[in-house]
Order: sequence, then structure tokens, then C-alpha cells
Amino acid sequence: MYEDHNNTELNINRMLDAELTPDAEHQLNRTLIRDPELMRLRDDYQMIDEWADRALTSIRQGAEVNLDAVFSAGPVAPTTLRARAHRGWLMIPGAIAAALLAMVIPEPGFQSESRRPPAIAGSELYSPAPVSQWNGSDLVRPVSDVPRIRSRTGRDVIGVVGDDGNLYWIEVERTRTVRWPATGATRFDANDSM
Amino acid sequence: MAMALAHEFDPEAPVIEAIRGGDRCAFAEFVRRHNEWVRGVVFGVLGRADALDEVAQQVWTTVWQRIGELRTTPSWRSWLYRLTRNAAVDAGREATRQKARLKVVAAEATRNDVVSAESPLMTEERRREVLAAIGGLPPLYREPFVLRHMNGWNYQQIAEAMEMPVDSIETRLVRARRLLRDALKDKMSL
Repeated sequence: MYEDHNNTELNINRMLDAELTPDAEHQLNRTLIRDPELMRLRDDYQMIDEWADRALTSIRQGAEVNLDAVFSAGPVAPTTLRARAHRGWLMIPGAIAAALLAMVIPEPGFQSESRRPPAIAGSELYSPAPVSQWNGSDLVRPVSDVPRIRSRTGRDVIGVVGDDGNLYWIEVERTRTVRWPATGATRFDANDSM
Repeated sequence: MAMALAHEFDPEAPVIEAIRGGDRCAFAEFVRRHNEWVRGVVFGVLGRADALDEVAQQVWTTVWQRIGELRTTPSWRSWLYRLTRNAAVDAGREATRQKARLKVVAAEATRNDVVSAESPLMTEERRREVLAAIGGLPPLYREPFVLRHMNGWNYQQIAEAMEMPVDSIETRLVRARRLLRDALKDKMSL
């Protein structure tokens, strides 16, 4: 019953919007004649449509569009299909360059990291809390004589031509480890950011 | 075949191509033909009439500047609809409710003469009530309702512009009328 009512209401709307076929409209009219409530609903919707049409007519007309202001805002850039296609082709080398750059630049996790070997009690190579020997001079600052190990992992990309004639890109991760200083050397570190 | 071609021919296509080439006369003609439905879309989004002139001006300025971005000429209607809708949404965000109410009163007052000449059967008070009721609809329902009544679009055209199935448009129109009936019930019995 409720579904029938909804369908009839939907058809009333279609009829008012001229979206109902003549046969369906004839069928709807027969339904409406039998049901005064639905007939009243149709009348109400019809009245709402008339009011809405009249009320909205008043706002269709407004101030003229100021074309001088439009044209002075900026010239239209003439574009043709050929120009757009040309622009598309120009983007291809840029995209290839960006892809290659993304492969060459190492990921943040591989950039660099300082590693210290685990502290071993009594070890002469590593002290977890080196004692500073700096005497307060602004120019010369002693660097700890405890050896420090620094490793850097980078990614190299090598192009190899295969037997099938295709070019293959091989990514190689290389880790370089540097240990310094071996002795109690001093370093000028005015610009040292470590 | 000839009938099919005639059916597919869009009279706006040469106008749009001319505008793309920078033809100002073609643009003026295009504005003249479509300014009313642009205003309809703006009202459908905003639900009030005070900012119509301003937003419509903004829309046409944007159309002139960005006509080159229109990918295919046949899709101009949905392109213009989206552009207009976005401009109206932006305008709605900027305006405060308080300012809007004040402007509505001023804008309505200036159009009294025009309205009474166009719709002698509708009193000014009734017109305001109906506009307020339409403006009070949720945007979901108001947009298709205004497109239907202000612009005379059929379901298919509304669905294409809003990029929605026709069924959804039908449902929203039913709900819009239902809500308007509830809002204007007291007035209808008079």
C-alpha cells in the first residue's frame, strides 16, 4: 500500500515534469479519480510548481553581465587540439627525467646513519662517554680520540643491455664505512655542524 | 544518417570554437543565451538571490579565462555547470548569514516593480514566502528542483549536468516537492 502510494507520487511528479508517457498518464489519471487524497496531492504539487515558476522567474533576470570587466580580466588563451597535443608530448621527457631522478636519489632511510658499536666494558676502542679535552679555546677544539664509525648507504643505478637487446636497470645498494680519527688529532671546526 | 547527424548537432559548438579563438562577439552571444540558467544554478546552490549578479559576473569572467580548458566541445554544458556550481559554493562560504539576510531584503526591494509586472497573480509576500521555502530546502534537493523550474531542464539534462543517475534526480525532485508542500501547507489552504 505504502509502496503503491510512493509509486503514484513518483508518477505525479513525472506527469508534472512532462516525463510520463501518455499511456502511463492515462493510467495515473484513473488512479487519481479513485483516490481523493492522491488527487489533492497532485493539486498541491501543481500549485507548488506554479508558485515556484513564478517566484523563480523574478530572479532569472538580473544585472547585465559586464563584458568589459570580463574581457579586461585577462585575454583568452586560444588553444587548439594540436596545441594541446603538442603540450602533451612535451610532458613526456619531463616525466622520464623525473622517474630517473627518483631512481637515482636514495630513499631517506638509506641516506646516512651514524652507528656506534656496542659499548664493551674495558674496551680501548670505544668509550660510551668520552671525556672532553677541550680547554676552552674558540679556535681549536679537540676531537675525541675515541674512534668513530660512520657508514653511508647509497643506491646506484646501472643500465645493462641484455641478450634480447632490451635495456635493464639494476639497482645496487652500496655501503661505505669510514672510521675516524685513529689518534687524538685536532680539527678546526668553526663550520662544523656535527 | 542525416537525421542522426542532425540530432547530434550542437548549435553551441561553433560558438564555443569561436570563443576559444578569442571572438568577443561570440562570447557575448553565449552569455546572452545562457546567463539565465547560470543564475539558476547559482540560486540552486546558494538558496538566496542577493549574490546572483556578483557570482554570475565571476562565472563569466572565469569562463572567458578558462575556455581553453574545455576538453571537448560537446561537454560544454556539464563543464559550465561545474564551473558555475564551484563559484556559487565559494560565494556561499564567504558570505555570512547575517550579511546575506540584510542583502536579501535590499535586493528584493529593488525588484518589486519587475516582479509585479511579470507575475500579476502572485503577491510580493507570497513570492517571498515561496523563495524562502525553496531557499530553505537542503541543497541536495534544491539544486535539481531549481534546474527543473528555473531552467526548464528535463531529467536527462539535469542528470548529465549533475553527473548522477536519472533515478536519483527523480527521487530528489519528489522529496523537494514533498518538503515544499509541508513548508507551504498553511498558505495553500488560503
